[in-house]
Amino acid sequence: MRRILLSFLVISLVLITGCWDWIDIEKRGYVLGLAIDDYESISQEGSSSDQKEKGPEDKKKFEQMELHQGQPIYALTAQIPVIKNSSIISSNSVGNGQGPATWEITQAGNSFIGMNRQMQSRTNLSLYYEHLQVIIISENAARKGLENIIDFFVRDPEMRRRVRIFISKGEAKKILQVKPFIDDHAALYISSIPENARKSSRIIAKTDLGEVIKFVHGGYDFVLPMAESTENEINASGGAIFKGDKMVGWVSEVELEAIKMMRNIYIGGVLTVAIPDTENATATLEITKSKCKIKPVIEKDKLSFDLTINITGNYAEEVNYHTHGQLNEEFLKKLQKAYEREVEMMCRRTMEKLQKEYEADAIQLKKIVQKEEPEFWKINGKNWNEIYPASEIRINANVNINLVGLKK
Amino acid sequence: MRKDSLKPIQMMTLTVGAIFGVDILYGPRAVASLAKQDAWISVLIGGILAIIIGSVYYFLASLYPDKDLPEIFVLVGGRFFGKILILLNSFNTMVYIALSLRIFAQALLMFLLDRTPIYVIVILMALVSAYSVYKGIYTISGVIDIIFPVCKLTIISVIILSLPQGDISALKPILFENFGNVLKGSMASYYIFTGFSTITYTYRYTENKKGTYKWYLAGLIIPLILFVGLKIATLMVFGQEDVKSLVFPTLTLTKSVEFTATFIERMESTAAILWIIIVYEAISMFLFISVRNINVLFNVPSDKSKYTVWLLLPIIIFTAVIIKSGLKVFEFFEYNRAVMMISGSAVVPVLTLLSYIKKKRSRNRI
Repeated sequence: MRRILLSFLVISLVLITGCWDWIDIEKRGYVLGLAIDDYESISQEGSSSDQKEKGPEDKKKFEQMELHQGQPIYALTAQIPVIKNSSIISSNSVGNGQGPATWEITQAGNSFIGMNRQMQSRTNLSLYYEHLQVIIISENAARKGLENIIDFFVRDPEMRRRVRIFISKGEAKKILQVKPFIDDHAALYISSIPENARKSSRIIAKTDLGEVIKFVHGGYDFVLPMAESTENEINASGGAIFKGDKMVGWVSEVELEAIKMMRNIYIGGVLTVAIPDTENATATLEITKSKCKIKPVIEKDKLSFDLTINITGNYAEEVNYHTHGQLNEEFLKKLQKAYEREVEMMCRRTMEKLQKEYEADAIQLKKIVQKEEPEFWKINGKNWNEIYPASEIRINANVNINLVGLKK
Repeated sequence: MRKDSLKPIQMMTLTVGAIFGVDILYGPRAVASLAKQDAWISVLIGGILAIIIGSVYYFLASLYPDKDLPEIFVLVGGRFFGKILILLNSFNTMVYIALSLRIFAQALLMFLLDRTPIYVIVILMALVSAYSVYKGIYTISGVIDIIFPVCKLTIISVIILSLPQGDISALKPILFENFGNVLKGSMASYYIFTGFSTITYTYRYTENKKGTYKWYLAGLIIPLILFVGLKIATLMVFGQEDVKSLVFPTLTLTKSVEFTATFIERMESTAAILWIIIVYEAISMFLFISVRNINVLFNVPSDKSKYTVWLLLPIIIFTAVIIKSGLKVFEFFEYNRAVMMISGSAVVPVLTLLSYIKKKRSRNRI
């Protein structure tokens, strides 16, 4: 009897083992990227991308949904890979390799979960966000504020905090519609661009959802990477400045470099200056390390900051000037001074723009005051919006040229 | 090792197993609201308090090396008063198990099994734990011994791997006009060490009492270090404002760890399996305590005592699934645990003092 019972238990272990929540892998729609557009602006302009497609009217009809309350605020586009058309499958001669490698499905509405669930009525796949790589938010949607947008992404257990966020100039959906030269999917293409931040200082390395949540909930201003596209390419250099959760403007690539230096998120890049006492000659430094020390100074209840930026790099290139084996310490010293002046100038110009034009504390000096001068913050914290633009910021750069490459 | 005895080192694994429970999933969340960026100091103080009170529990257990807490209640407090204490303790412990099961099921629903009915998760976990209790403390300790290193290494990995994403300045300013809040937070932190009381149930099973205290102390210090580490990691990664609003900070922390271009892209699926085991350890230990309480309360004969667990199970499962609101579960859990810890911390030292005096007197008489 005991043996029969044991055998029954062992057999049932094999037969009834399974998962209540199983979904076949081919039934899952792996959402790789999301684009969030402001509904009002795209409905006025008309979605340029849709005009090219067959039957835009029918498609537009599907993109609308009956709402329980209010009017559509956002248009959410999800990028799903079409596995049968992916290059890996077609190179193995399994799929037909014809047709687009991705499907961008758009839904307009006023709640993200509502739009997401409505998409389910247009696909036979179960949309799955665990592998989401990127969220692209259009400028117009970002100017309305991020807090409403991120709420769903913070709450939903499928969402991940390491999902990258970009702000698009113009329609966000267009970024997802890019046909990349190398990757199959624009979402994977754009999400891996920040990995090059060690080589290019004009890209922000860490721009994920977790950071945005932390800044928005903590009440800090911040910068997010900009994205713009052509048919096959995406450019992610430059940045969007946020005051609180609302976007207030753009910064150029060079201004972004300065912000990165001052905020201590600079992990690599290049800096070119005119070689002193020459005409049209330039020398480029490959920056390997940049550290900024920020010291708040309080004198007679007036707040100012001392920023010391210490940069280490390698002499990388000279144009219209050739040392021909004569590169010496004296020349490098002269160059170091030129680099220091350039860094200081770049940072001052950027701070001027941030303080006076945007009144946005993208360097997060507020955090430094909160942490380092809690006494001052306790009394004056509520007036930060007035204190910050009026604060004097002294910038001092120290550049050290370490290596000179394989040629002297 | 003889079949019916535990080694002193097992006091460490059992104590650690009992302390970590659902707290590993959501941590001392209230502490961040109270102590803000100094929440980790609150956890540290709460842990030190747990070591002090835990030592009193140990001393009481060592005064009666062949008895456990419900038997000591009756012996020192008398039949009537002793049984009232057992009744209150049983009630608190059973509610604690039920709400732990419910919180565990809610976490699993959120992160892994979104379509599985909550009662299925509760019943399965309860059955597995009950079976261990049915087999006895030796089975529980055997299972805990096996999984102890893996579980603790997972927690250490979560802490270490999440730190590069953190911002150390999130811990500043340290103790700036916040000492009162830190102290308030330390009480909430003290409650998470509920499991230290299990020594009064497990001590009697140790064959060789020498060195037991040392291992018990290690069993208190390990969770203290890991809880402080987790608190620092969550504060650094999410910031104090965000930590306050997270329902399961530790689970969210695990989800935040990602590896680029490696064969393990994410660690949460591995960690999720181990979270289940960690919760199993605590639930088994507290279920064992409940069984002992009920057996002493109703004078259940020793040959029938192992069946008690099957009688308790329906009550615990019912309590776990009866509460409708998911948020209320956390409130009840915190409240019940506070009552449990405050009453325990008040009663046990008094009981220890009475026992000590009683023992001293009887020794003087001899």
